[in-house]
Amino acid sequence: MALETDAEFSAMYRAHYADVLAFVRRRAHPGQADDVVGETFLTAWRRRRDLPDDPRPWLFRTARNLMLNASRSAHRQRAVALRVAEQGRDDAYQPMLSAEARLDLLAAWRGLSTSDQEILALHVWEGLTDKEAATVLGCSRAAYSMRLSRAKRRLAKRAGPGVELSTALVPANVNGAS
Amino acid sequence: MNRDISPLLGVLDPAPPRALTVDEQARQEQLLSSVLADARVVRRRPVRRIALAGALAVGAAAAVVVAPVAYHMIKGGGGPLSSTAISSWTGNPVRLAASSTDSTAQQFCEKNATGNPNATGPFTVSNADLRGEVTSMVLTRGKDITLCMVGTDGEGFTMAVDPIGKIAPKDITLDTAGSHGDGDSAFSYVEGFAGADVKSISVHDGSRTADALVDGGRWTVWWPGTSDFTGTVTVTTTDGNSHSVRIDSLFH
Repeated sequence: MALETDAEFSAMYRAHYADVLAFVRRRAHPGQADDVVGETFLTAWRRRRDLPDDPRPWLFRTARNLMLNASRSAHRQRAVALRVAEQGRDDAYQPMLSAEARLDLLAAWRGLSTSDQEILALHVWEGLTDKEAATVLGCSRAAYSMRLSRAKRRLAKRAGPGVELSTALVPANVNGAS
Repeated sequence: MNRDISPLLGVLDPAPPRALTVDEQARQEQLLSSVLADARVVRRRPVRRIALAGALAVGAAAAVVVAPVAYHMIKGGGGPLSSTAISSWTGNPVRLAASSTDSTAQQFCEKNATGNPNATGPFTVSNADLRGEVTSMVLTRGKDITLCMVGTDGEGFTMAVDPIGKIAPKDITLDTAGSHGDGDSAFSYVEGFAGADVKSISVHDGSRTADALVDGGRWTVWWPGTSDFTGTVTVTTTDGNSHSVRIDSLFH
């Protein structure tokens, strides 16, 4: 998708800004999210003639690389750490879990490796397909699928039997693309 | 074990799907203008530090070089403010009356104010203070609100901030925060909103304590050095009570 004009780039920017902002907010310090988003789109502008037809995974990958580069000066990292909502929200997710089950889920999440968290987040929070998530991480689709399956198993094992999925209560906007 | 509970992770999503607020839409458009403008202008960019979520989790700051597009870089150097200006910092700000702000500083801030470039009319100045050689102020014109910091040497920066939101009398919120520059040119800042009963706010970050300027429901403060914002904010209300919270707990 070669973008030749300001108008074409602006349309792409407006179509994906919110998703990129959310992607970065899940990972970067809140005070710096706007700058990471800005740098991501600045990079996209410079590469506008080389963008893929679906630029969303490319934008996520670019933002992720910026955040990875940030931490490499301090310690080598292969995955970007994720933030979590510390408290329950008053939305469609709220009735899905008891407070106790939520704490169990939070503990299970925190017990996962950063890599497992990242794999699960791309699947659930970003709602990416396996192919798109693989593009973000720079691995093959098969490798991502395998890692996702393992991450799901580890999450379930750590959460224990107290955290159960009530499919009847899962809101429609829970992303589970694969 | 075959059960898949991963869909439940939606409850932990720190940025759940929602429409952008009006203010976020304004920032979206401002950022787009900055990207398009920055892409055309080759100029020196400052080094900027970014603290990541992972760095916060392990209590260590991480450094990164990211070209800023969300604020206006005025001059070259290690950051928007010179090391000389930053070294003159004082923990207690000298409150300036809107009419007594340094005219050169105010000219800089008005010239580089964010928002509609075609807007006309006078600016309203609030949260004006002086720490050493650095003047900080908030300019409002119409719907455009700008936080500005500038040294007596003419180096500084501006950034868009939000209008004051609804807030309980004894509460404070954080609107924006960040760190700019590197080494001796590094500084950190916080800007937020304060309820009507908030008398004073102090930020404790490492060995430094910085008293914020509380003015008309908005508080502003800055201090030398980068920050991962794991320090504390102490809020004192008009009834004499005080309480402290971590800075990063104010991020939402």
